[in-house]
Amino acid sequence: MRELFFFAVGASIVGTIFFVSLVELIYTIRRRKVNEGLNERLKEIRASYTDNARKLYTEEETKLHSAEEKVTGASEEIAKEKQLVVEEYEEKIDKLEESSEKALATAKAKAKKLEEEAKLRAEEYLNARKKEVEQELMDLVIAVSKKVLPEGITYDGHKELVIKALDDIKAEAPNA
Amino acid sequence: MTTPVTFISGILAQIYTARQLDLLHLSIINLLDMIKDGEIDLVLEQTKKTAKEKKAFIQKIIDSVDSPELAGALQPELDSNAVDFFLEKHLKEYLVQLQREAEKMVSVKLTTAIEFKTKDVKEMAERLSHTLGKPTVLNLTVDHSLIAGAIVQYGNYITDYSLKVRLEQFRNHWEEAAIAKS
Repeated sequence: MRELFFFAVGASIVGTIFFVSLVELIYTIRRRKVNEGLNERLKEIRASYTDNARKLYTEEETKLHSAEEKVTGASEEIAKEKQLVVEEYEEKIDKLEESSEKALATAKAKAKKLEEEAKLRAEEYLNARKKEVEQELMDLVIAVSKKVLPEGITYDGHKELVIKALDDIKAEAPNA
Repeated sequence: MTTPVTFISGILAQIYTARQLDLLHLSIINLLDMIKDGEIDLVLEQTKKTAKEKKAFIQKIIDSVDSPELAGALQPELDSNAVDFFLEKHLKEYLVQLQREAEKMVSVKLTTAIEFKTKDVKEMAERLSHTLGKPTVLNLTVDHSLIAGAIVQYGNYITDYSLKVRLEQFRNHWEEAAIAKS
């Protein structure tokens, strides 16, 4: 009996161990399967997540790229606008500078012209006065000559001058 | 009776001014008119008239001649009692020839500053006749403003040799120089 007992106990123990082992095995197998399933599922989920993430990443990247493009475009636009504004202002400034330079040049030219005119008038006046003085001097010389010369020329001197004039006729007027 | 050549050259030799030449032309025309009208022959051919009366008539004619040179040439003919000389057939020929020769004389207008003596004017005319190769008379004018020298006008030719013009030229040159200088 005892032996049976022992046997029974032993069998029970062995059975239990076996059962436990079996359960353990089954459980292990099952767990492995579950694990595998879970792993697969995890892989799927991971793959799906990765895909989704990649898609999202791609989408986001596209969006980002698009946004970047937009930003770049906007930036270029802004740069262009800025350039236009700068050019416009520069042009305006140039025009202003030009007009101010022109105005300055015109003012300078006017001033120079006025100066030249004044100088010319002064010279003209001076020349006119000079001419008048010279004319008066010449008139005086002529008047004195007219008074002095007739008294200074003798009768024979007069005669000689007339004869010289008459002698020149033939040479100067051969066909008169 | 003198020959026409002597008669004409004798008169023309004394003509040296335009005034004398004008008077000569006038006198010739007057005498030729009298001859044409037959006034002289009418008296000279009258047999009733004495030689003295005829000479007195001719003397009147000579006295009425404006040109002293022509009158001076006619007077010796009368003085030598050559009354026939004054008949139309003789006198007309002399006068026509004289007129023709007088027309050949050229007139030169001479303006001088002083009045010259007659002998000097004659010398000037002779000198000019020699220079031009033609008998020449001077049409004299005095203009004291010329100072000295003369203005000579001969046909289309006129030239001013006066001191007045020389002074004016000097003045003009002075003015031109003054303008050029300014």
